[in-house]
Amino acid sequence: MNIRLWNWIHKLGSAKHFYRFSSLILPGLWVVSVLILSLGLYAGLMLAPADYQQGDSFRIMYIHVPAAILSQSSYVMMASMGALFLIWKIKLADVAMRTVAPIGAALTFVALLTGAIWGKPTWGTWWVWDARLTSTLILMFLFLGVLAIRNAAGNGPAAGRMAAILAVIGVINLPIIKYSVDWWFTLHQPASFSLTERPAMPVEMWLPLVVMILGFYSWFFALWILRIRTEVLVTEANKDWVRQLVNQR
Amino acid sequence: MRFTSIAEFLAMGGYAEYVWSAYGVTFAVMIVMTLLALVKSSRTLHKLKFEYDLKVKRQVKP
Repeated sequence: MNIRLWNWIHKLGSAKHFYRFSSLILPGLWVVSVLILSLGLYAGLMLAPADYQQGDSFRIMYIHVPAAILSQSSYVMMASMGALFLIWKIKLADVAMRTVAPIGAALTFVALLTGAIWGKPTWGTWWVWDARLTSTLILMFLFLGVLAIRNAAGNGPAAGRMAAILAVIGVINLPIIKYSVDWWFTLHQPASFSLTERPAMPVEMWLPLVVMILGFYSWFFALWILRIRTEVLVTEANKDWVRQLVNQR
Repeated sequence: MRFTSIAEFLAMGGYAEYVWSAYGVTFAVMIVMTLLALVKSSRTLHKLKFEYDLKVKRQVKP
């Protein structure tokens, strides 16, 4: 690979360079996420036609599906950061891991709650011990487990390793969530989307969903970057660059 | 456009309580998490500034 690209990636692993670089993109990222989310809300709540079976209750999909996708995707990111920390002991990866855990837990909570609210008019029940629902509940406990380890054992490297090991082992749960709807076909429907096939919905129904997924992703990255930046200042408080940066304000 | 009036939009085809509670909780969570992170960020900067200033004062008058 290009040596300059490697240099850039390597620099991003340093807290100072991450802080500098993220200052450039973060304000724009907030603006972009607000714009995309507003567009997605408008399209999903007003432009999309009602579903012929579910009526307007299907609009919950536009928040439920992005939250569910992001809850799993943020878990992959958390576990990857954990692996980076375990293998190369990159401190910034540990910071990234512990700052994403609350966001992931909140998104999983949102996915479960919106699913329950959608389930009531559609299935006639808030909750069943269906494989998809149960494995998603386990996902939330994995996020909370990583958080609990940090709260109990502090921010030291030993606590970081413990949390990282739990995060990496918990990856086993992800294929279970993904294939649960096919392996144990109970109540939750199989995926309504795939990257390889044309969706069965009309374009004015699936396009708002794509927009909302993008909006959730950009909000997620903006929040994660902000949380990492705050945490970096605390962990690097003794460094000259932090002192200069704070005194210049 | 799916709805013809604001009242019809708010009624959500009879699913108002489900749709609006789901959207309400989701955006409440997102907004609260964002605000908490912003508050923590500015508090951290103020706290660090305060601590650095304190150290400088102590060095001037030992």
